[in-house]
Amino acid sequence: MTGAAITVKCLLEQGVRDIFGYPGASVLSLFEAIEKEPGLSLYVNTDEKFCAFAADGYARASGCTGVCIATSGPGATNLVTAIADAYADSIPLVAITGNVPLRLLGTDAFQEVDIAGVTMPVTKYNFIVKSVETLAPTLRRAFGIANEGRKGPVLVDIPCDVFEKTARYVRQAEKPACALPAEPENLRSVAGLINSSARPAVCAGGGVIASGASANLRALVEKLDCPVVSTAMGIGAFDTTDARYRGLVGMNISGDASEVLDESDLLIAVGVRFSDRMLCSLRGRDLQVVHIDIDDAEIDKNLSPCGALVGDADAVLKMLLPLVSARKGGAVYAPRAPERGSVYSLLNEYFPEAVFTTEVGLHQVEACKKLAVKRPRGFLTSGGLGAMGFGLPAAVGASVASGGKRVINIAGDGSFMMNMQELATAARYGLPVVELLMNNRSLGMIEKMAGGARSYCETPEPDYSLLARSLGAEYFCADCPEGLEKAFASAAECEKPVLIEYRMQELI
Amino acid sequence: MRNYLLSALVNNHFGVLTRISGLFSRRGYNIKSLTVGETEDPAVSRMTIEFFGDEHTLGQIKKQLSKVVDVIRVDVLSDAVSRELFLIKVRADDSNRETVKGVAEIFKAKIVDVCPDSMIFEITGEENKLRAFFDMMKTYGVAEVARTGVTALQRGPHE
Repeated sequence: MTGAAITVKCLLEQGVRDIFGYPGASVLSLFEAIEKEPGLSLYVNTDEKFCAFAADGYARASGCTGVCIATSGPGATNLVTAIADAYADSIPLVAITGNVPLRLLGTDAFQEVDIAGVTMPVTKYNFIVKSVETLAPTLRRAFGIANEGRKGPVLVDIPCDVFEKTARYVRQAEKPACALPAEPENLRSVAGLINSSARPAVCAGGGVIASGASANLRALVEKLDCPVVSTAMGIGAFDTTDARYRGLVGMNISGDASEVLDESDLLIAVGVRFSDRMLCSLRGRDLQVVHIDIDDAEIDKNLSPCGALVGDADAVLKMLLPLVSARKGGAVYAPRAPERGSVYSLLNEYFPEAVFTTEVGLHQVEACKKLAVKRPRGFLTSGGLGAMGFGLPAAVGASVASGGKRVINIAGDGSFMMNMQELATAARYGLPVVELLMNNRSLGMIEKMAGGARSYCETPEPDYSLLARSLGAEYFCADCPEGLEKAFASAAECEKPVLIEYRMQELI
Repeated sequence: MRNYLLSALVNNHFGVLTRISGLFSRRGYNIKSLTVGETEDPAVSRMTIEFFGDEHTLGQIKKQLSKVVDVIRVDVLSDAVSRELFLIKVRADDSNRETVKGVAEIFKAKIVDVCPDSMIFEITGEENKLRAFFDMMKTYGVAEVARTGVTALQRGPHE
């Protein structure tokens, strides 16, 4: 069997069904093999960067490993931003790159880049496959590493002649079931800290979603009868419409969440890494922290907790729950009323089932605070890297993951300028992606940081109607909430991708 | 702040040294020396890392190292035999060769090369001894030095 065929077999072994790729000379034989395989669907984006962002969005929406393929050199380097995005947010991703033939490696050949060297700091691990015999074990290992422990991206660089060479392929036997996780050290002492606290609160991070721990998180919150806050990555880990949910922590902390931190004496942070932006909302507060995370290296890195448990969030919560005493917190919270008629409450009203993605900027902060998200994997945003251009290809990936359901990307005009051509990808594959363009004709967040209007924050003003239609999308426009309602109603009926331009009077 | 020795067993692959040195530079861990060599098992190399700093950073280094896929285990050596080897080229001619040689004998340094106006000593030991020898040799004029960096093993029975 050829290396290309072995690669296809290994992808099937791992349960891969959808691949995002961009063809090129060094991966041509792999594309040929994928095209012949009925069990794999290939989506060709408009740039390798979008292949990787789409695979990233696919993984965030489904929990399955995202797979992207690019050719050598510039194709491979185009992946880097999105791989870094998956690394920052611990998203399982396998990136396959072609490279020049083995004998030309290291000779500065045409379209040769040492992509393993380039991606070393932004991947969990990467491989250069130097023989067709090692191809299958390497690919299996890549999927294993991407999903073990704290998840993340892995890159496999394959010289193009490895795809042509032949080796014997033996289907991998079913993997034995994993052993039950061991009880983390300190379990009892941490339970004691929680039981002796007066007013605990829970903070949900992305690790809750990655581990599928929402049900046990809810059980803990109900047992403690305490409020919940979340990080941007944790949005959806706990139903944001529940009265106990008090909003977002971090640099853009909401008022309710701020009150929770003021009033609590113990914060139980689950699947959180205490990034610099999150830490600024804890500074100056007299608050003890219990830190639960799968990555031991995050404990005591940026913050010293009074107690820590290392392990998968769901497994740890399951073991912790019986040791935690039930209590009546006594606090009665009014559910956080959505602003009637605001963009975000309208989005929830017209698209109650949809997955939401965002770009990066003011609209992202607003969406993090105001959108109602009832379930994990219902809200996808570039948290750690803050990569403009993430949202639309991520929406394409999320729509593919859902079998072609509607996904709404909330975008600013700056971000849209970075990825608008992905409307053509959505159109090409008949994906009903809705791009909500919050057009304030500015790089609003930067303008705010700079302290006022700046020429470098101005954005181009194309005819968005012509642009949308030329890329195969419907176009609706609104400049007031009533107009937006009409646009949402029309978009909800559309099978094609839609661009809705919301012409804003103010920055936000 | 004090000196620490870490001993890491790693897969003997190409690229492992890059991964680990990249980790140190990326995270700003200032290390004094790093040595690497094959162990009794040719598939495994031992890296000995000498680090001067505080206990918190030491903990971070240990955790971050343990996360690297190619790292098999990491130990902070508490009671170790540690050695470094220096090659020192000293300016010495007929006028002072015997004096220099005499000092070297006190330190049990070996003469490994002699030419009319210089000689090379090989000396092995712990840092204090090597430093003392080096300081003595400086009074005669050190032309060049090559150091291996520290390698070490925990004392006592094998775990």
